[in-house]
Amino acid sequence: MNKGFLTIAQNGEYNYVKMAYVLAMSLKSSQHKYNKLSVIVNENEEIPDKYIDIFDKVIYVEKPDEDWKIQNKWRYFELSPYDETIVLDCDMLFFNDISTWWECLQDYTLEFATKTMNYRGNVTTSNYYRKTFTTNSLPNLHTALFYFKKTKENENYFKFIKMIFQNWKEFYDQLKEPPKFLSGDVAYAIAAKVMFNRKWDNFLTFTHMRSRLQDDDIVDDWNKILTTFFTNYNGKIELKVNNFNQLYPFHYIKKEFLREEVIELYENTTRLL
Amino acid sequence: MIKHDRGFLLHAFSSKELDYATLAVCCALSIKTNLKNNNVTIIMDERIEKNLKSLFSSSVIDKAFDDIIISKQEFKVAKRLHYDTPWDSFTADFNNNSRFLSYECSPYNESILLDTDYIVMNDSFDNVWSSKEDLLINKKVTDLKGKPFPNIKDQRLSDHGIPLYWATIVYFRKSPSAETFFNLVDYIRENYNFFQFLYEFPPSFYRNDFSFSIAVHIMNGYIKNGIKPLIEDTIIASYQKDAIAEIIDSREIIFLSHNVKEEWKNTLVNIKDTNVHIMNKRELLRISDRFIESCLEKL
Repeated sequence: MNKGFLTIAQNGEYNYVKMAYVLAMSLKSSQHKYNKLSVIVNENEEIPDKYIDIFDKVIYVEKPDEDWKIQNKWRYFELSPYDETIVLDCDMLFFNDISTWWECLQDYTLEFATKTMNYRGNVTTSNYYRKTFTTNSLPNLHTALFYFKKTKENENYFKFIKMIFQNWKEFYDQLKEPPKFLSGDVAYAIAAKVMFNRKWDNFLTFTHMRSRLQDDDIVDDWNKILTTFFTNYNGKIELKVNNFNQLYPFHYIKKEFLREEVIELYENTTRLL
Repeated sequence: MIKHDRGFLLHAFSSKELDYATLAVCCALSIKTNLKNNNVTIIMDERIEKNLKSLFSSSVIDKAFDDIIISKQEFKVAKRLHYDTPWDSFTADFNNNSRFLSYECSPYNESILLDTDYIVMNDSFDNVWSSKEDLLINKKVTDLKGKPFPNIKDQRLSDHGIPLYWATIVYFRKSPSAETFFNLVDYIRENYNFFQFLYEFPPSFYRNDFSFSIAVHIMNGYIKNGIKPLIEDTIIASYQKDAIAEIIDSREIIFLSHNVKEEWKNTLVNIKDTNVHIMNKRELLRISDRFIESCLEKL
């Protein structure tokens, strides 16, 4: 079975393709068995050669008009070049090999990260960003990291998500405390609740750097408060946030975190691989 | 050189303002009174030895300590502000740099390193020996009423920093990992300014709690879990602003526990058959005669 990672990186306010480029390098440097990343980008996007070299496949889709280019986030099923896909947000980095996750996922067809960690390595408990989920008893799914196989059932699931994306206001009107914008996580959770009578609880996780999920009462930009440094031990890149080693996929959220010297570190490391 | 299999290790270095010799005798006799495995070795400087001999008979000294190691190493002495109840404070010499010597100096295969102001009042330490772990250290601490210390500075090295472990009680076995740990503590001590910058704690005098916490964090692989706590995983501590109302005997002390927010309010707390870290050293010295007498009656 063909396995790989897939992310959507449609440039707009931020250069998401650059983030996907660094994500791809982080996967190359950390994953021993499965490290291919395919990237969904805007049609006509000019992708630098060095990016093309590191991406497995570049998939072009039409560019939505809105600044926040979420409208294609239901298309993973049809666009994925893999039989088994782990979908990632492009503002993530990997430091440890997750080959064993792929092995465990053999027994499943669709799984989402349902719990997240903070930078101190504690499971996050705040529902500050998830009130819609708790109020409406929606499954606590995170689309920043999820897995699917190409099955008929999943094809229908993604079709349902397409319908929610295209009619999100009508769907969200049925919710208590609905988000005021199209939230991918909420759309995926509604479809999961309607289609599957099951519990969503598994080992998939990542470090979520939304400020209020940290144990430290951080209300502002974490990237301005916490100290970060990267180290490179014989080609293994590690990240410490306030001296805490980051073990899980790291969802940094704040785009400014990706400084030029970080990109250089990854480029120099990947070149040696 | 290994003399015994198991024992306790104390450090006492001179201070003009506080009588660490007497504190060490209280601690050692509390060990002798309450524990089966009760060998005690003390590492001290020459001035403490002189004080010890002037204050106590050789019979008491022999009962308290099995081995006395005199350190001739000169350490930097800091000044530290102490409280003696909410109503008095004073500055005293603070000479706490010798802890890293514990591994090298301990005459035991298994050692428990204790602060001299830690008073043993039960036999829980008898259950620590033969631990599967090479090193045990606590991070949980509560006040006399069982409430966790409320300030973040007593839980972490800084607001967003690593967890604070307390060097008050440390179990270690002679082993490569414990040796590495104490070498690391020494390295951190020698490069304290760098680690203060790296771990973002406020500049101040050297604290063993900080260097031990950093060493634990590094030995854990820079994550929060790894090195385990002792069986009694919480240190019960009286604040420096707490007072002692009465000593009943060597296993029972009645404290006046002050209210952190309303310092004029005190609660009587009876600590019985429970080990306690008495941070108000002057209060411990005030009751030391009665405490030592009570211990000696039982020996």
